[in-house]
Amino acid sequence: MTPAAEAGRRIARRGVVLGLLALAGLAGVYVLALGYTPVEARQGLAQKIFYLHVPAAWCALLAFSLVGIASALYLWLHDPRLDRFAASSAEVGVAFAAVMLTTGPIWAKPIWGTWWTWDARLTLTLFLFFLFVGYLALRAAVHDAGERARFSAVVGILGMLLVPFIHLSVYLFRTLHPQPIVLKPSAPSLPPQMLRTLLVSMLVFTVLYVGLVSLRYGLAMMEEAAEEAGDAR
Amino acid sequence: MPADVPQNGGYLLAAYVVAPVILVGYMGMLWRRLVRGRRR
Repeated sequence: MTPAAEAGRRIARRGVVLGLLALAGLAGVYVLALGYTPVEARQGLAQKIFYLHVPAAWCALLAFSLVGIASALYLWLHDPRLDRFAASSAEVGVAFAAVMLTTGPIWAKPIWGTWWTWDARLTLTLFLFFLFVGYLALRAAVHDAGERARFSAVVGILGMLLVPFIHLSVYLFRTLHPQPIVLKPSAPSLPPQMLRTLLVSMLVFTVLYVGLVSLRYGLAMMEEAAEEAGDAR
Repeated sequence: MPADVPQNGGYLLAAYVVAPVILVGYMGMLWRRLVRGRRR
């Protein structure tokens, strides 16, 4: 095994450990959400979807923002590690966005009376998801590594530009979606048990993001090393 | 739980099943690629 492949394997293995720790943490979040936090009087048990939906949204938007930053830095520095990180973060971001876009409608149905509504927050989020699915399809379609990195960096930066609009969309447009209750200028408006559970869940999801990105990044290193070894033969 | 609280636990159950299925499924896919890469 080449040194690059060995380094990739080490990073991927660390990612697996972090990912497994985070999944154990997720079980802890379930215990907190079901046993520790009170049942919200107006929304009932469905409100507890909040402890998955919000952290998944946080990780998806964090992942896509980091894709944009890494892509911009790639166009400036031409360091392949930045391109590899952007690709890894985009793929993991799509997984978290899938969680956000499935738990959201499941929560919306009993509370709003509909699975989906075409308001600004939901529509922009769906577009962001499709944009990054397109980003991954573009990467799969372009075989030249330099071109692939350049083209996808531009899409990654454009995707990142949607993130602040999504966060501010609940202020800029009339929407059914609630306004932020934690990431806002004033203090979080949540009972302490709910806030603590949410913060634990956000930490667990962030560790899972780091674990999955490490695993995906290490895998990419191993696959690139295998391709280079194949070309050399 | 008071009787006037909405009874919608089925939606909670659905969300609490779907989320780990997506995340564990994705991690499992990466794990399979890692094992296959190690064999190569």
